Amino acid sequence: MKYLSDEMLNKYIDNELSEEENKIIDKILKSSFVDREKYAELKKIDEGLKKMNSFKLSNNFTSNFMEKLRLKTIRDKKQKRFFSFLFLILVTVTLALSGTVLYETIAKNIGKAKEISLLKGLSFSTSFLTQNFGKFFSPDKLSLIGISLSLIFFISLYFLLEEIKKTKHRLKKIR
Amino acid sequence: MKILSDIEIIESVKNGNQSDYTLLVNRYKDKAFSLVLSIIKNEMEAEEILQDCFMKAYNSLKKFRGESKFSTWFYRIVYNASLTRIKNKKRNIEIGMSSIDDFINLTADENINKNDLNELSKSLTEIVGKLPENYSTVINLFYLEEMNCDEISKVMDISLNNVKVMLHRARTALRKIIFENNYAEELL
Repeated sequence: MKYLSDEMLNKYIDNELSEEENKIIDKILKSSFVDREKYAELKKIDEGLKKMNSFKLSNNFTSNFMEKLRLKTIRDKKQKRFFSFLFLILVTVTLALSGTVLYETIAKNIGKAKEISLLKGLSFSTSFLTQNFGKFFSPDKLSLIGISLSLIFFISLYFLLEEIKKTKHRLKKIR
Repeated sequence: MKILSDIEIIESVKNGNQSDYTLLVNRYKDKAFSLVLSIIKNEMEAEEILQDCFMKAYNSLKKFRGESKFSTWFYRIVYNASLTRIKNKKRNIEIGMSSIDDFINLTADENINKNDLNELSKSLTEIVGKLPENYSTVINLFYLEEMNCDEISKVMDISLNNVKVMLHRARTALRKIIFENNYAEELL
């Protein structure tokens, strides 16, 4: 005798069959003990699963996680601040370098500019610029600026790395 | 006291109330833990993965536009993270119809070991956890998270039909395990 397949019975439980198919299954279940038993077992499993409980996590999972999140947020903020600072230094250095190049170029051409009457007005403003640029970005001062900026950069990098180390240590403790 | 919806909590977190994220963590931690555990089968590792998933979800909250339910979106993160861990451990997991047939004779093959079952306190949850990853994931999402087959197909990124087939076969596998080993009285 051919019995109902598990697949068919599962579909019957999940109400996935057409009305006509349901009627046929009803009839078979009434007449076949084996199918009825199989159906009852599957139905029991389905009902048991509906009452199934989830695993419980330790009570301090949430507090541990939130502490980890808080520390990570602080660390991210510090990193962001550091990278903005680094960006500012890079911008300053770039400006300083372009200033020097500009100064050198203008200084070279200033003599020529004076000779051309049309550029006389320009030569006045450029000479003013070059004097100031010259004072601030002269080669000896530029190296001083570079040294101090690098010093600030390395000091803040040291503090950032220390902070990251500390946060990692704290996160490990939490975990 | 009014129970906040997931969307309301998310909006609040997006507005800078980080502590409100606790509500979401508390709401989903146990069910998500069951899901990870059904795939990873190791409590310590599952807890670690879940922490990473909550962190990832927090960092991606800005990208969450509410097009799907938060639960579907979050369980997808959890499911993918668990699968990635499995893959990293070089264990083979195959999703889809091609793999289903390998799992049919669960009581007969090494997937479910009778000794394992005897060692368990034999709760239904634990027996489900002993099923192959695909089966236990579908069972967990369907019965614990009360997701419909369509939502499950989105989480697992498989077809609706595959979800249904997996669900049916998982139940059939459980029937075999429970009734052939006479656990029905204890468990059901």
